[in-house]
Amino acid sequence: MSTMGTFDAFTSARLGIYAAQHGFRVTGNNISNINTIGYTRQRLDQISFKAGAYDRYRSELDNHVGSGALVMNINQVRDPTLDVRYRDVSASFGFNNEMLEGLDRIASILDEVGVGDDTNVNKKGDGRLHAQIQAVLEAMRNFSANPTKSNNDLVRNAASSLCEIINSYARELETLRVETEQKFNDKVKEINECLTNIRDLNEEIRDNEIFGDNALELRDERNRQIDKLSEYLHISVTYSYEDVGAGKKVEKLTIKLDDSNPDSSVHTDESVLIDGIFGAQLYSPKLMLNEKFDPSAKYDDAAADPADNIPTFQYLVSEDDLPEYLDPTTLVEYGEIDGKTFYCTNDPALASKMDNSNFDLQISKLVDQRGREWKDAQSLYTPITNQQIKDLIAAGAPINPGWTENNDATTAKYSFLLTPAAGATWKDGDQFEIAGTTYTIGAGGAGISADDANDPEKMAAFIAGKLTSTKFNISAEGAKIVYTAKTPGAIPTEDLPSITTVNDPEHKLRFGSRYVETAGKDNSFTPPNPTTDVDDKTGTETIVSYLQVDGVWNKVTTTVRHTYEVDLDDNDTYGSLQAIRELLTEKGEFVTADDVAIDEGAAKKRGIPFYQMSLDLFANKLAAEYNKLNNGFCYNENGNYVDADGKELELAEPDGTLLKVSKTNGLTEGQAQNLIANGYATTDSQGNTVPDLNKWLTENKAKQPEGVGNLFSNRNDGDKTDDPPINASNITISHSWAKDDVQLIPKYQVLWDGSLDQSSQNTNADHMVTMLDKDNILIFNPQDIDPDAISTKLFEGSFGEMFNAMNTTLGEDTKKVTVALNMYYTQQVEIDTARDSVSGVDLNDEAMNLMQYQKAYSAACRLMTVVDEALDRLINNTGIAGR
Amino acid sequence: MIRATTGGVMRGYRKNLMSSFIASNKARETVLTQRNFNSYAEAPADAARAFRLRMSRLTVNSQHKINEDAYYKYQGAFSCLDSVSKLVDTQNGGTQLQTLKSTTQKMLNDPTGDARTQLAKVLDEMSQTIVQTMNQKYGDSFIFAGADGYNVPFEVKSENGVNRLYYRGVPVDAAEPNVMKDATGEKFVRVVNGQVDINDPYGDNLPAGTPVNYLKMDNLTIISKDEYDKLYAMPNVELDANGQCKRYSKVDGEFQAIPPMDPDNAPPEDTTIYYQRLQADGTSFDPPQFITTDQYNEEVDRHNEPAAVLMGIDSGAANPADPVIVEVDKDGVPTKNGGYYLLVDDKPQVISQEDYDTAKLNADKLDYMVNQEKRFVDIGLGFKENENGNLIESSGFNECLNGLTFLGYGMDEDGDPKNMYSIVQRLKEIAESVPDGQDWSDDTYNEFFGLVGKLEDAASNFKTEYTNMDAGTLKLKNNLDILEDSFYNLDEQTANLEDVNMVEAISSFIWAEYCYNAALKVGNSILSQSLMDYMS
Repeated sequence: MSTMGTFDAFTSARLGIYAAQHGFRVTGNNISNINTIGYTRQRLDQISFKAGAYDRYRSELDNHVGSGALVMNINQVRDPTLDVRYRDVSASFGFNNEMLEGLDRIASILDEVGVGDDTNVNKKGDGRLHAQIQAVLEAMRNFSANPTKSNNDLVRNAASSLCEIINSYARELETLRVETEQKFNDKVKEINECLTNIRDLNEEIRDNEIFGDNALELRDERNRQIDKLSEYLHISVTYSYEDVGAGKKVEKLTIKLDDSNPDSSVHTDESVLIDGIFGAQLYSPKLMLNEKFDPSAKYDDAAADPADNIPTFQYLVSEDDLPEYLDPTTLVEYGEIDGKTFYCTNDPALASKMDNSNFDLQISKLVDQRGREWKDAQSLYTPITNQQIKDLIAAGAPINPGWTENNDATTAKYSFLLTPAAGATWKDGDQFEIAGTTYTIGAGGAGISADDANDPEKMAAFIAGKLTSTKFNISAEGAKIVYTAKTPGAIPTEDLPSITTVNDPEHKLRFGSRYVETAGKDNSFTPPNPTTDVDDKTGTETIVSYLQVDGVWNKVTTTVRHTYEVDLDDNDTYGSLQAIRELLTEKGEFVTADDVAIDEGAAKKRGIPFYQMSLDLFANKLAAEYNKLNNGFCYNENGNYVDADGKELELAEPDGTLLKVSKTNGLTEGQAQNLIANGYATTDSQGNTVPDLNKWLTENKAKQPEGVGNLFSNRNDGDKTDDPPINASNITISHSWAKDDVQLIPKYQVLWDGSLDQSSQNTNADHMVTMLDKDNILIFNPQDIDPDAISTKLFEGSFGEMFNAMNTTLGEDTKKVTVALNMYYTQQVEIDTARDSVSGVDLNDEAMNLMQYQKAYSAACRLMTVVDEALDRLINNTGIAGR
Repeated sequence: MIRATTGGVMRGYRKNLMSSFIASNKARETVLTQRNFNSYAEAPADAARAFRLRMSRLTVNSQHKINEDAYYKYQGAFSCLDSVSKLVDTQNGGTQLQTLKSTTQKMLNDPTGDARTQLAKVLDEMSQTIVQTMNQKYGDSFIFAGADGYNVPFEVKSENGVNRLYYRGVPVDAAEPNVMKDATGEKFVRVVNGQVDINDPYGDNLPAGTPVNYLKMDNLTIISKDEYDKLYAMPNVELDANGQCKRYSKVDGEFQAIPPMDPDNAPPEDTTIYYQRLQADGTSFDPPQFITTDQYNEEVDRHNEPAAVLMGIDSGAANPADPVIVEVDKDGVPTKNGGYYLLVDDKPQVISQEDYDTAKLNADKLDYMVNQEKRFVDIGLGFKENENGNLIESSGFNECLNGLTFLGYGMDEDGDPKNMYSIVQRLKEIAESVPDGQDWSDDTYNEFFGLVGKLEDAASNFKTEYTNMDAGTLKLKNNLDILEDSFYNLDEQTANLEDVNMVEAISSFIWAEYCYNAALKVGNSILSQSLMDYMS
């Protein structure tokens, strides 16, 4: 019969009630949170309770019964694999979603499909810029057919409208760029908020865990934050355990960038963002130059007004870009610019971000809530033998100041005390063996008498005289046999002396155990001073020191890792933040060697700058070509350029032969060479060196007709085309054209010094027509906008086709991103649904649980009633027979 | 999926409902805009092509307008030329005084000159009418003004009572004077005091300021010295015993000597007498050569009065003032011992440098205007430029109509004008030079007659050019049709590309709406029941 407590069954019933109650609470919590975003279904972790161990006097017939149910834990039902998949897809979704939004915004400005009137049918679609190019072309054609003042005015009006459309597109693109830049800053803030939240949640969860709480709700919130972060950045999330002391381990969450950079040699794309209770922040600081900076100014600590020190700072940083490690209260405040507070700084890390046009990102140091930096130290012990040390010394003690050997060795001395057994006496004729030789007592000669043998001191002296050793001198001191090492130093174990006796059953020749009179010790060494090596980039310290452990020297290499700022590579991130970066920075065919050095694939990526620069190139080319056509030089009836007096200009061949400069036939090869050799050279749209005939003609005072001049300029109160160069945002018809000082030049040919009029001649007007017409081939060279651009050809064709090509590129990119987005969105929804199938609350499930716990609760209560009744019977109604 | 949770079902529904709504919205947009695509992103290749087609269509439209303009201008020109054609009609000569031909014929057939003055006036009026017709305008520009459409092309100026026609300020009869030059044609032979210095024919050593005059070649004929000597040598004929020319007659094709001074055997009076030409050594030619007495006399006369050759001076000779023959080479370039003389008809003619330059300039201008001046318009023939930035001529249409092409210009080799108006004016002048009632002198008549012939040549040239222009008009007309076809073709292509098939679009829209409504209906029942609802 087993032993059992009287009220044991009550415990079972009570625990059953408790468990069922917990079940209600968990189910209720699940139902309550059915609409809570990020909530993970909770489940009761219940075990069968068995009280105590086996009884000391347990009968073999005893059967152990459990004591009820215990609620061990409340867990979340979650599949980490799905989380990983979700976050992977989430980054792709975020990237494509943000990119598509950006491209759609660009398309809303440039895409002219279905926009504008149609010239012939009552239907939209001719576009705005497209249609205006055609309007200019038509006006040009009219001018070419009838080069009159009124047709000149019509061209001017059409050109002015074209400029306005280009201006408006440029303005809208710039607005979009500024908005996108603001969005980038907002996104960085959101990410930082997310990182801070996750870090703080980690600490909360950690604290809770230490005190035994799983902090499930906090985990839900953390998961929600991580999901959110995964849309901004491609991250990897790992869980590990950290020892918090006293044998307690708690979960630690680490978030890193997930190796997004295609360049395998780059590792900054695996930088840590969150490490347990430590978290980093993202920055993309942009500094402004401090216009009040005075290099000769000196910082005055005692200045009454902090503003007095403003001239000592080179840069200004806005409150938004201020890294966390710079405490604004310790900085000199500059004041407000555009509604933002700016601080003065000379911080070298920040200064490197000056003109951060690439929106480079930086990850700050890992710090906890209190601002303490993350640090980790690990030591590696490597034993080093004396011989190795000696070798080092012999080799010149390479470690400065090197090892030194102290000549403090001691000589080992051991003794064995002769202690015959009580009552044991040597008699003549007794034999004993020492070092392989047998001696007989009382035999004379080399032997020993019985009396001497029975005197331990004499016997010891006799034996010592018979023993020999290569490493020890053997002598007797009283009744002791003494082994003194021949050389100072520690004696290896295998060389330690020992005395063995044979055939001595009566223990007449018994020695005590080896006694260390003096321990042999080698020379000691003084190690070199510890050295510390610090990695400039990471700040990791490597300290090398030497420590004697148990008499053995060890080389101790201690690596102390610090948290440090990481400058991210161009492609280290992926997700919505990277999409915004690419929208803000990518220039496609306008990339420079520097851009490609940062990102090998830069030439294939196109963001707002690409479209801005393309439009700039469009405007610049338009202005350049038409200004050139309207700044030509007169040539005569023979097709040769003439000066103001009608004299034909001559240009020498390399051999000095003077030849006429022909407009009709172009320069001779020799003339072209001569011009280039004499510095009249320029580069064509393909980057080839070509003669600059116009410069030569200008310097040689070639005749120009009245009304020549620039048709387009960079501002409408002048005729300038440079400083700044003409671009999409500033192109306008020139001031002189506007006020009729400049006219479209229909022709440059002057016949017989003007004595034969050609009032309706139109050769130059024809050029102007062909310049805009579709059959004309122009080369749009990115280097006209950025001289450092690698590519020399963005597009070859007419102006209209150039704009068409811009839109086609945009359309292709948009389509590609749309397809990708749809794919990732579907995947994201599928994975999220799959995740929900594991972690989500389902009403049917919870209804079942409710019923189950309700029944369990009732049953436990019933059990209690049964036990109560049984005990009542036992207590009150048992043993009353005979009353 | 192991579990279908409430949240999961909701998420799936929301996504699908949104897809359905987007599809419905897209279908609606397609119906409303009636376009196959509404952004480049929807169909980048189609959108790009559509814009190219639209650009082409607008270009064709513009080219059509220009072609139409050119066509109407040509039609106007055609009308003008038709009027002129009727005036110069050579086929309708001799009937009424409606054409130049009939009028000149009338004058030629009126030797008494009763109506000569009157007819001359008729000629004058007709020529004025031609000029006025050729000054017609189309729109703002003059049709036949070449590349100077905004200035009146033809202008008649009266100079010393003679009407001279100018085209864009240049006399239409201008021609480069034929003057003596060097082999390169760049150095001119200078005439000082009416004479050429054979030692310095180009005046290289003349002091600065010496008036510059050139020698005209119009009345000079190049002849080799041998030919000259031969032409003007005394004929060498066979003499009889009396030292008289031995006479021959031709009987049955054979030359027979006529016995000297034999009255009985004297040949008939009308017999042609021949002399036998001998070689320099006095022997007969083989076969013998005979000349008539007239030829003999002519040669003798020539020998006695040789034609004048151009004489000059030789500043390098001992007596520089002594006249010397100006010898030239076979091309007329002054060359000492060149072997050729210059025969002078009447006396040497000299032209000043200024007059020469003016005449040359005017001739060059005329030549330029007629042969080189072009004005191209884009009527859809390609309109491309070469690498020097010059238009490839075959890619444009030259709409330049030059009045001189039709009426003629310059002078012919006889020094007569080639321009129709000038010829008529010259005819008028000749006619007016003979008083009414007097008969033509032979010279006057011949000159008049010759000019009438040249007028016919000019009229024939006019007809040729007129016909050529008609071909140009036809080309414009055909091109107009091609552009029109091209326009509609492009329009149709654009429509095919952009315009939606409404049947398909509406069907798609209705289907999308149906799907969306169904999706909404499904949504209504998603959360309708669960086990909770059955718990009691």
